[in-house]
Amino acid sequence: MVNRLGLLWLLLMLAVRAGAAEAHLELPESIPPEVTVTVKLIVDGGGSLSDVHMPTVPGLLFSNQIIQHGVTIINGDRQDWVGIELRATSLGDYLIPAFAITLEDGTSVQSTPAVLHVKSGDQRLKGIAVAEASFEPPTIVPGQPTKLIYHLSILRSVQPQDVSFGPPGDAVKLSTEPQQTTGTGIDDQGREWQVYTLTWKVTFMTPGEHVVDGEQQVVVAEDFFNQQRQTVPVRPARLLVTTIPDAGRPDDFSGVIGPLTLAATLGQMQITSDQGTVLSLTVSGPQAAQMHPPRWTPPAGLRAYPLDPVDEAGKRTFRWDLTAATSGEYRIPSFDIPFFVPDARTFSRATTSPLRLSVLPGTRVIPTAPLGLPGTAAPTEAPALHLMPLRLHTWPTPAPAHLPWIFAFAALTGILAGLAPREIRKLQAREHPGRDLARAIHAHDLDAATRALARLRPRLSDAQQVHAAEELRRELDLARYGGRDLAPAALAWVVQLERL
Amino acid sequence: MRRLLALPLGLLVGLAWLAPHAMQAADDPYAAWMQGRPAESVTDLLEQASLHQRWSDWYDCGLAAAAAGERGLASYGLVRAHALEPQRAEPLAALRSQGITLPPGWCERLGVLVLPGAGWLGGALLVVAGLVLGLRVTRPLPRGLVAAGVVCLVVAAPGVISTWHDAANPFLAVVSDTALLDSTGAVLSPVAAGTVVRQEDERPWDGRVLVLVDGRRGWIPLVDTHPPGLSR
Repeated sequence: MVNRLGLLWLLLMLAVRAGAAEAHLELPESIPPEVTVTVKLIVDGGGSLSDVHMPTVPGLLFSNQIIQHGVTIINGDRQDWVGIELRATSLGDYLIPAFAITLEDGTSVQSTPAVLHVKSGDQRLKGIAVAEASFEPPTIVPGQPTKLIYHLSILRSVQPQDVSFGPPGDAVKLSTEPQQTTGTGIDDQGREWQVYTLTWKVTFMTPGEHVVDGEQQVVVAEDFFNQQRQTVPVRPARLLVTTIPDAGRPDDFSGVIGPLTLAATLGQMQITSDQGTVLSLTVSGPQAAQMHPPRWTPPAGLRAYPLDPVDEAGKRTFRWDLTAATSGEYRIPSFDIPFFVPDARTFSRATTSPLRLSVLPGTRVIPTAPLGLPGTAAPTEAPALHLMPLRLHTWPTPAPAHLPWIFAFAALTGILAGLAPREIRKLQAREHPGRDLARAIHAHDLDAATRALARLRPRLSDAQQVHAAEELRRELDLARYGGRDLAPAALAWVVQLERL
Repeated sequence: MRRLLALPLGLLVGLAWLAPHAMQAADDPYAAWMQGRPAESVTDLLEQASLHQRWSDWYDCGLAAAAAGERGLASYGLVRAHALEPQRAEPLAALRSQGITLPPGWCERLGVLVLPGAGWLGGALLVVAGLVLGLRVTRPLPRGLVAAGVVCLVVAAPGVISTWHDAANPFLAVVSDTALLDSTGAVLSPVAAGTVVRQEDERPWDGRVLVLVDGRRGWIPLVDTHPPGLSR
């Protein structure tokens, strides 16, 4: 029984392992004809490759020899890969069907089908680096968004450095940071290039031709010690900004460039008079993010309170809180915004359909009957509520129950404050041998003065103080044991030592 | 040293100034009310009042509920506002506008005498009085200073005592329609939401509280004296 279970477990693991392995060809975006390139065959989650038989595809020539191999392990995920040479004989798209790959453990895995695009090599890719810029579209009207696109194509051995390129000063940037993408390209010799693309969304307000150029610094690194910096001029981008025609321009045209679509919706089509609903107007178009809320007048009986607009990609939604004073049927008028269509160079209008809002009588009531409190005379008719909210943002005042505690705490603080100075004076007196010495001398307590002087000794820091202390000690000894009075000079030495 | 002290003090003052403004900048619970929909403001105002326990918040909550026709919550908010600062006339006036007249408390009877002893002014007077009298216990003080402490105490006393007394008022607002029950649970009479009743005993019994309504003693369910979801 155990053996059967073990065998079942082993089979299950093998099946899971076999199911987990995947293989695919990593192809470049395109290759030119009659150029031999190396492509990667990658096995994910499997073992080492043992044998590969590339399929036969008319027009494609695979070398049956593996020229490179390697293993990559990232976060425990193993990838085995081999390099295979490939050449296409003519232009076109080639479907490479699934084929079997034998692994070292004897299992096999099927590759996923792939399509190889064979195109002529990019003729523009010459030298070591190519920098160029363009506008898309290249012709706009003032205010119409366009994309300023910067392409930098460099060989694998070249590193990009500083670039002096960007939207000119008279451009209106519609995005704060450029969008960055990377890709690859093939030149007519079959060399692979790295392509960096920066895209700014901009517009211009002044008609005329705008030219944007700049320079790109690159470093050519043959090896670590042999690096060379070069400057590559950027092929300039040209933009033509034409004026918006006066003919056919609507009176209410506010400069919106199309295409533009509008959609108006109500949060609820039916509410009560003490409820509200939200009216949303969504504008979609290239200039949506720059648009201001349209002016409109709600029908009599409805009030509209504008809310903050909500922005999404290419959309802006204007919102209003709608409330109704009385019940009834309300017709919300259609929205109508004129815009200019650059391609056709004509004007058009985006409109919405009118909306209907049904408002039912609400339950809001002003109390008309006394709520009643036993033992009190209730008024016969309750007045309408005319009181206004306070809207105070004050700190909470001490609760009445806390006031006696405040008094008790203050009294205790007063008692402690009364006691504290006395104790502090005692502490200070104990900790000052200089003052102790002076106090003892003035009180003619020679023993106490001798003790204070002994405590002072560790604090003597210079020869003058040591001398004063020695002289004072000698005078104290003479006074204590010789029966003499203290010499007046002793008081001067005390003054000198008192501050220690 | 003074600079070291000035920094935290400045921060505290800044925070004290910013806190109410930050609160104001957040979602305004009054917005819907200003647009004629007080019912939608009541929940937010109730939350605000129960969080901060300021009389003004409870007062506004009561007014919003009254405007929305929620009698029970209106009485509840106004009674709570009155309990927090009994010396204030606004909650009593609002209750009267709803047809509810509470029996006059000590604050109402004493009138302006209450004012020095209520709120922060009362707290400040008590601090002065307490400090002076506490110091006098341990060391001799000038007579004038002692007299000033005694005056502070005397001036504050009416307000302190009367607000303390009235804050513990035994009134409860019934927030939803309920019934007065006898000790067996039998219904004596219906009690409408918004009715303000006198609590006869602080200790609840079997989820009910002993109250006096229309001169009749009886029990009403405790849950009917608090808004749903709000702790006591």
